[in-house]
Amino acid sequence: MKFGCDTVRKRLTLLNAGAPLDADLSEHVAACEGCRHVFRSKHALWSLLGEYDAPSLTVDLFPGVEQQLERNRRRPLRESLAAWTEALVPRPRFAGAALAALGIIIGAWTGTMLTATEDAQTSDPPASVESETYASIFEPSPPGFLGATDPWDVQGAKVP
Amino acid sequence: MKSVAQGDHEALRSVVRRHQEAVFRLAYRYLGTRAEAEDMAQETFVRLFEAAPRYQPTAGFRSYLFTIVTRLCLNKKARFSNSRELPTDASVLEELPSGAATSPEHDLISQERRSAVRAAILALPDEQRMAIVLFRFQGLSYAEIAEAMSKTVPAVTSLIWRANERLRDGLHHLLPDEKSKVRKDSPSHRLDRTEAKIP
Repeated sequence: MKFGCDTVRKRLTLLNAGAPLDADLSEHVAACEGCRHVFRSKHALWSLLGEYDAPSLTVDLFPGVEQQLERNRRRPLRESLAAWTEALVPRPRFAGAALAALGIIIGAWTGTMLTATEDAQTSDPPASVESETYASIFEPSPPGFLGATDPWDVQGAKVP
Repeated sequence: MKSVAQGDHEALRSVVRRHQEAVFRLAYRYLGTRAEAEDMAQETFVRLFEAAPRYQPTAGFRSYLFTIVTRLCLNKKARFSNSRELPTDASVLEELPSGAATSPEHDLISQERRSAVRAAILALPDEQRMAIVLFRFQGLSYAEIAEAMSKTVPAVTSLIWRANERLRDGLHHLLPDEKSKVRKDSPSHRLDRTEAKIP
């Protein structure tokens, strides 16, 4: 015999019962009582499993398949629409946070604008005012101012 | 499949009608209930249609189809795997086709046998159950099963071997030569307890 009993029994167990035994296996099984027993046992189990039959399908699956495909086809459109809607109209639980954020932004912008306006009113004057002021401080008074020949000669000035 | 890939619904209708029975039966034997099996079969054809443009005719179409349903079933996390509970739907046994019973007594015995076989198969771990269903009932080769389950051929061999051993233990009382070989510590006791849950 070509195979030992262990090999034959393993092969018998794994063999589909419907499949014919090859020549080497059949020769061994015919000659070996133990392996014949395994073979019969295998057939008994295999035929017993045949009792687990499935019922027949009573409905045509195609209409359901078609409906499911149609639902799947519409899904991307629905999902993108829902995403847009959600972006435009926030869900209630986020509405408060969104309003608060909006309020902070508007408040910050208003504050910035007011500060800028105040600064504009109090800081650097226009060029004409500047020249006039500096001129009055640094430029000498016209001769004869209060009777002094030297405009910086305060002591020489005559107090009226 | 070329027509299906081009969105031809008539071609899909033809494919569904030709293969729906086989897909349903495979799903039923794995899941154990008609409703789940119908849903699974429907989902299989939806996936088939959606994947049609990527279909490469390297293997047979039947193997390709069984690969889809196998992976869907395994991904479904069959509810038996964690709880080890079998469906208790009383209609399950009634909907199974009955054999050629000759008397009410014979019919009852036959129903008990079918119930025991069903319980033993559904009590198998998910992958062993799928392997044995594909092998015993769908007639797929080890290579085809390996492809469908994303496993190697030796892994499939091991799964079928272990499934056989568990079934032999679980159904020893129905096998003529095994009645004298009951081991008290065998998994059959677990199966017997599970069987008791079936109405």
